Amino acid sequence: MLADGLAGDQSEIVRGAYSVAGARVPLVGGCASDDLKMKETFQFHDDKVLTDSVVSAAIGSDGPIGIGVHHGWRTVGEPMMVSRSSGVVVHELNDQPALDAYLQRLEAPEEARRNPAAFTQFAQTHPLGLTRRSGEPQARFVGEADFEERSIACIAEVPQGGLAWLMEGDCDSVLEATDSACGEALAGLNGSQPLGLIAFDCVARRGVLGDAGIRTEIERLGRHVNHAPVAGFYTYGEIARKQGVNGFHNQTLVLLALG
Amino acid sequence: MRTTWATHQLVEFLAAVAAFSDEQAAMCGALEYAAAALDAEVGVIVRDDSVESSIGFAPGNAPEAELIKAALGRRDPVDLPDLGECRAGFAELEGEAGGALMLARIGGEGFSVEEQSLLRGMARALALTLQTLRNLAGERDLRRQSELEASERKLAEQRLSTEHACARILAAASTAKGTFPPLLRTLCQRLELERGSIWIFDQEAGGLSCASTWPAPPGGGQSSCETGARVATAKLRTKALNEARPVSISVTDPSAPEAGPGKAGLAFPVVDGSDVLGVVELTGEPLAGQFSAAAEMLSGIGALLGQFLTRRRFEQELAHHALHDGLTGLPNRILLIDRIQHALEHAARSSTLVAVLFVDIDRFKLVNDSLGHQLGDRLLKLFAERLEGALRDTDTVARLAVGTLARLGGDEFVVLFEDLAAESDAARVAERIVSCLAAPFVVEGTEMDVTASIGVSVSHGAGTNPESLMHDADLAMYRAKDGGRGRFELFDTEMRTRVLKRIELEKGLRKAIERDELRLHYQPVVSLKDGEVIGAEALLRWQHAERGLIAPGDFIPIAEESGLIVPIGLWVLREGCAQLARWQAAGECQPSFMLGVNLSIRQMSADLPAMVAGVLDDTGVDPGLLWLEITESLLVEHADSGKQWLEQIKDLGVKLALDDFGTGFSSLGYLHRFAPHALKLDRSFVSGLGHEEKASKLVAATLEMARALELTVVAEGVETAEQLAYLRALSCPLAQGFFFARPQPAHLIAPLLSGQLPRARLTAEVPT
Repeated sequence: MLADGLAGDQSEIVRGAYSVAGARVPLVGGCASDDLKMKETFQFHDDKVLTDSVVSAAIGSDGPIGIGVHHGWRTVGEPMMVSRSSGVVVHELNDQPALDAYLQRLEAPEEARRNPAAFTQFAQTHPLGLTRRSGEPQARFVGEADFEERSIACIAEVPQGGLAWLMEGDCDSVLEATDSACGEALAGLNGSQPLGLIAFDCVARRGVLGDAGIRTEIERLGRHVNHAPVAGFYTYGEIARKQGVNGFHNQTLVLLALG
Repeated sequence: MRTTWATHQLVEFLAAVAAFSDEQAAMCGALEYAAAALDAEVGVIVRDDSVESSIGFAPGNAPEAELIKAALGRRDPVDLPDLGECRAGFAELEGEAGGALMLARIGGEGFSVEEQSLLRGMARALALTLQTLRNLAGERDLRRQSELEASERKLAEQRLSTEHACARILAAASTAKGTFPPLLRTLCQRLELERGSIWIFDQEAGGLSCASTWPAPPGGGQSSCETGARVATAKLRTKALNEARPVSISVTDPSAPEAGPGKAGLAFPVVDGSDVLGVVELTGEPLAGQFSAAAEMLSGIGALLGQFLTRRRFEQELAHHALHDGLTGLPNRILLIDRIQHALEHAARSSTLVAVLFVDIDRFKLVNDSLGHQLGDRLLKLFAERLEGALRDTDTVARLAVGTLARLGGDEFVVLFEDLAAESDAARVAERIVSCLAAPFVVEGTEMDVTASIGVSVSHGAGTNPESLMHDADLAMYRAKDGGRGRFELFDTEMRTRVLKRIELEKGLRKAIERDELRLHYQPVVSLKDGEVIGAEALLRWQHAERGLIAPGDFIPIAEESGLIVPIGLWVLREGCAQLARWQAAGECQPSFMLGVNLSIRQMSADLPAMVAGVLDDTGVDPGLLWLEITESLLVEHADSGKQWLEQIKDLGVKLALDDFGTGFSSLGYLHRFAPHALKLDRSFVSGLGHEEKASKLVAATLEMARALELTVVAEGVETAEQLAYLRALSCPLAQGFFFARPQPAHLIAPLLSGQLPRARLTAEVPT
């Protein structure tokens, strides 16, 4: 599934796709980005260039398919209670204005506390993490801050009453996640040789890695799949549903291995 | 840490579920939340043996029967179609009949105790939410219901009050048209519309024509019905007319300045039963739902108006019938009297005259009897048309106001004229009517000459009333008939005096029999051969208690006209026969003594022979001694039936004498047909004897003829010796007259009966 990364609440797209496809069909994909300009993205369908759209392809295969999902962000300190939120906007964390709690707990640099652009730069590597039944907390990209209202807005819904972690990461943790995702995807092939790997990688992870880190990441992927072809997108939000009903992720690497 | 997780999942779940506003959305959302929180691909909520919501299946592909079975059976692991073995978690939905929540994971990871506990908590929260939503929905329904009822009640009240208002207008109406503007005003005001019009179906024009508009067009004309918006709504009216139900459209015709964009129109039919009489049209601001709400009411008002119009038309028809003659459509007596009353009032103010002309067709009864009622009616119609034409002509010639022509029934017509300057104007109208009848009438191919007798009366000052004016004209008409028909007579006061006298006499005559005021005088009939008294003629006299003896000429015509002659005639016959019987019993007359009794034309009826027989029977008089004297006119008028009755009388043995012979038709044909026993030569011939050569020739010829027909002849009114001498010279067999004896009461005449008249009376010589 290839969707517009600026369309709005993309988790609804995935929920809708699940309600149609059902539990038997895994969902994989990502949302188109525009190199962080945040203006307009495009999707291709046949010979048409679309925007604000979802393009899907059904893959039917006799061979095995593996899916790996990991982000590599670490939690910072204790979880905080989402004491007031509405939709994607988090107003309060632990009964404190959400922006203040976020900046203080993460000891954000002075620039990020005043300048929106600097804040977005900082937030790219400091997502919120929502509690999950198992595995890593689900990452929620903090897209922008409202300096007046002292709230923060994420790219997907943050339920009120739930728990949220503040998270951070570095080159090493991100690369670790790459290894984990790759291992998970290949495990799904049940021992078959991978024919290729398609990656949906969050632009935020690229920001952490830098150019050198990216090269390292691709090398590692190539090694894991015995130099089978690797291709992919840097995305604004990733889609992977293989268990349960949740399938929309932020700041995550989704790998689709075809065997 | 795990406990915290579950607690917070439940808190999130509660917050999410509480946000839903209806049961279905709550179940669907709860299932998604639960599946998401517990990493389950499949979920189902079952209630009342049916799947309320499911997740993990393509739409329409959920294996409902298996899901229900699994959810209620609580088997873990469970095999689900297409998905294979799944691990499942269950929870009851408390308070929901057969309610259960099931989540399932594909693969081998089962639900931990903590997860099952969380699932039960979620199920309980969902059940509570459902219960709350149901209560809320119930409350909402109740509120909506009561709001609906309130608005329905309000509508019903509005409808009733509008209908009442319309019904009041219709009930208070004096004219149909007068009801239209207030009706339209009421409807427009109640429905908050701007204008309305009523269109009634016009039979003659074959379409709708505008009967009224509201607000009234400037200048009060009707013409604006056809301008502006009305043209645009013609389609609407036609639709309402064709579909016979209320309809609406928006009026957007740019050629309709008043209607403007956004204005709407509605129309509903005016009906009585299945008859569509017209359309009411209303225009104004858009009506939206208001129209459909009002449709039923408008149907009701359309029916109300339709019934009213039908009733009104029926009443008008009845009123017309009550005041007009059915045959000719002319005003009848009631309307005529009313018109005369108005004319008299007007005349009194304007110092003009009012004339009433009674027009009566002469011998109309003859036409009816001989040609039948249908042709008679046809003639009456033609006659009415002829009169109307004559009146129109008179109008232009004499510069008179057009008169009213009315029919009183039968062959009686009345013409009323107003604004006359003089009596002579009325006479001119009468002349015109008489002359308009000169041309023959053609009734179904039969040509007939019709004359009419006209009586004219003219108002005579303030005291005149319609009845007296009519009565006077009626009298004058009779006078015209008496005077020879086919002419007119102006009423004068002398006529009135005479009439009053006559009325007085008639009243007295009615009581004459019971008061025993009638007398019979007898005049001897003498044989000119030997002077022997062979019989007598009974002559009626009236001994009035106050006025003394009244001459026959003064009361017999009244008796004839009033029909009193019938009982009086019978009395005469009975009394005469009784007297003859008394004379015979007393030996005061010869056994062959005959009695002459006059028979009136009015006595002619089928009962006559039996009556005569009865009297003869009662008195024991020999029929051969009774001479019934009849006139020629009687024979003429009762040519057919009369002959039959007279034959029956003759069969009794009674003899017939033809009275007043020579004054009428003196037709040999009648003489032959009725074969009388005797002729009575009219006194006018007798009186001419001796100084009119023609008279003696006629008498001679009559006697000659009588001899030829073997009839005997009685010369009447012999008063002088000279007349007697002539009669004897001409060999007239019998005579009566003052010369022999005046008519006298029975006791005075008795001495003459048995004897002979002095010979000297018979031997007078005819002068040479």
